[in-house]
Amino acid sequence: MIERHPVLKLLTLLLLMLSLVFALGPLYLALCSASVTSRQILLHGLALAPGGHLLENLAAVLHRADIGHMLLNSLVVALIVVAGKLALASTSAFAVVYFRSRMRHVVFWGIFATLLLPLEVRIVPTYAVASDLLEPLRAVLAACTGLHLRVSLNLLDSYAGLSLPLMASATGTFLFRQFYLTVPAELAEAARMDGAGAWRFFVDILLPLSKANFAALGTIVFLTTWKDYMWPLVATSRPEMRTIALGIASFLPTETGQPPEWNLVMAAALIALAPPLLVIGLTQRWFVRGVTGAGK
Amino acid sequence: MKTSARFHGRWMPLALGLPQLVLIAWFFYWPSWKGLWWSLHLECPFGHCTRFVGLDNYRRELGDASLYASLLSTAVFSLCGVALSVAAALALAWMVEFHRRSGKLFRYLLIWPYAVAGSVLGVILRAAASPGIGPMAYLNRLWPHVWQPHLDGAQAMALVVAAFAWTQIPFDFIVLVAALRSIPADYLAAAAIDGAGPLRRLLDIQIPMIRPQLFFVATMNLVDSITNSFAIVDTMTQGGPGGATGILAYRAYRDGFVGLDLSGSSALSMLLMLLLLAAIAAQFAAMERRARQEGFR
Repeated sequence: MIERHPVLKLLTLLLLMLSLVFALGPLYLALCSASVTSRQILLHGLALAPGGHLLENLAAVLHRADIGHMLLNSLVVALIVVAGKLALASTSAFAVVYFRSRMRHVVFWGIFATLLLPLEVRIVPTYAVASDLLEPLRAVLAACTGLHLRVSLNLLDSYAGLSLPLMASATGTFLFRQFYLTVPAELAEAARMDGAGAWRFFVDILLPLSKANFAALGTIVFLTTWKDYMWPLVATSRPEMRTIALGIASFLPTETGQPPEWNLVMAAALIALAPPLLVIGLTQRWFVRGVTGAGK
Repeated sequence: MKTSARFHGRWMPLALGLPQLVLIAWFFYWPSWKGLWWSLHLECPFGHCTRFVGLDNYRRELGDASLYASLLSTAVFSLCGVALSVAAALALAWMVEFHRRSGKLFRYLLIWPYAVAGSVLGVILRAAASPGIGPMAYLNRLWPHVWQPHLDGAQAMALVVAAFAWTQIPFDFIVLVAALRSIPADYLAAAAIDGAGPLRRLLDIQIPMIRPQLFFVATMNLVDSITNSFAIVDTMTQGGPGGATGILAYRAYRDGFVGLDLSGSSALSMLLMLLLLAAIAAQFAAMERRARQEGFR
């Protein structure tokens, strides 16, 4: 850095290497154990060096379980949430930042109160709402007109049910607000002087400027949705609607039954973590930008 | 932002924010209200008979001795998890900054664990930490029965804390590396000329200057330790052994979905939320006092 510290430099390098072992150790262990036979694990424990049965085990897992279904579900849900959250966050943040009207405070506080109560804390009532989506409408209707309708809509075990509650959060709006505040005010002034309305300014000037922000938020939302476990757990009962982060738990050996096939469990884990790992590996720049943008 | 840069239009912001607000009303305000309502009523599971019982549900939960065991394990889990994540991430960020040139590779690879879902890590660690087949089996061969996380509560807790920290460190690490980089190099150079070594500079310049970001990651970790720890606990210990890792979030889920006790589970959720708010408020207060004492801002 500034002065020479050969000893300290060597020491920190060694420590960094050690921490890399801890950080990537579980992944390495999974890779190695997914590439040996079940018999070897039962005899000698988890493999610490790669073996030659990786493709065979992966094929066995893909054949035996509906892991393809789970991957597809994860992908669909993650993409719906990404698209929805980006659209909602960019417009609602625009409403919060760029208007004089007092209504923007309504929007601001209405959205940001959600930071107080994460989905996991209100999971039971959210489940009840998703299982009977129109209940609030019926309640309002009954209160206003005394009419008791018998319509109901159950969102459990559907893509809408898996994705909509995950979109009802303020993090995306918050991130876009932080970004809009860094856009020079002169741009909006100039646009107004040239006679552009709010919508025109938003579509023609602000959105093109936000491309990197879209990528950053998109990556983060994709990863957090892919990793989500608790909501899919309660919102799905049919096995074919499970996401991979949830479905992976079903590979765990149960107490009774045949000897556990840890090589196949690890192969399933590899399949579950490969897509998000690929996303992080390829989009690291955007991802880092998104995380540090949230921290400002 | 300057008012001249703001647009007119009374209802346009509302119209733009409406889709988000409707979604939030439906999946945030309505369930939250429902949770509060349930916590004050006694109801047959998904049935139609309810009666108002005031704070009886809270009294029932607070009178349950096992709640305090659960609170204690929540406190241990959250505090240890947050402390371990922030400390490790800070150490890593500092070391990576120390190796400006070769640090790039570490910076790239140390972020990878962020891609791993809690449940996937839980599944991998179930095997890796198993006393029979994991690397820890070597320990047991040397000293029989030393490592038994499925029987020993403290070991199980240490295991879930370590797993939680593993999933949190990448996020903290990214934020803290960016924070350390934002410190002007002149400050550090001036301190070095005055004879301050790397450790002194870390303690007296770098840590005070990145305190806001340290506070931010600690708060995020704290919220995550209460809300996002579920997958790890559910795949690794299921709250066991003997309730040693039965943190509140897991308990609220069990009561609601396995025990079908909506009122109790809702009361517990409300308590959990109060706990979360209190913890965040306390952190804010500590931060403010610190800042005022040292004359920052």
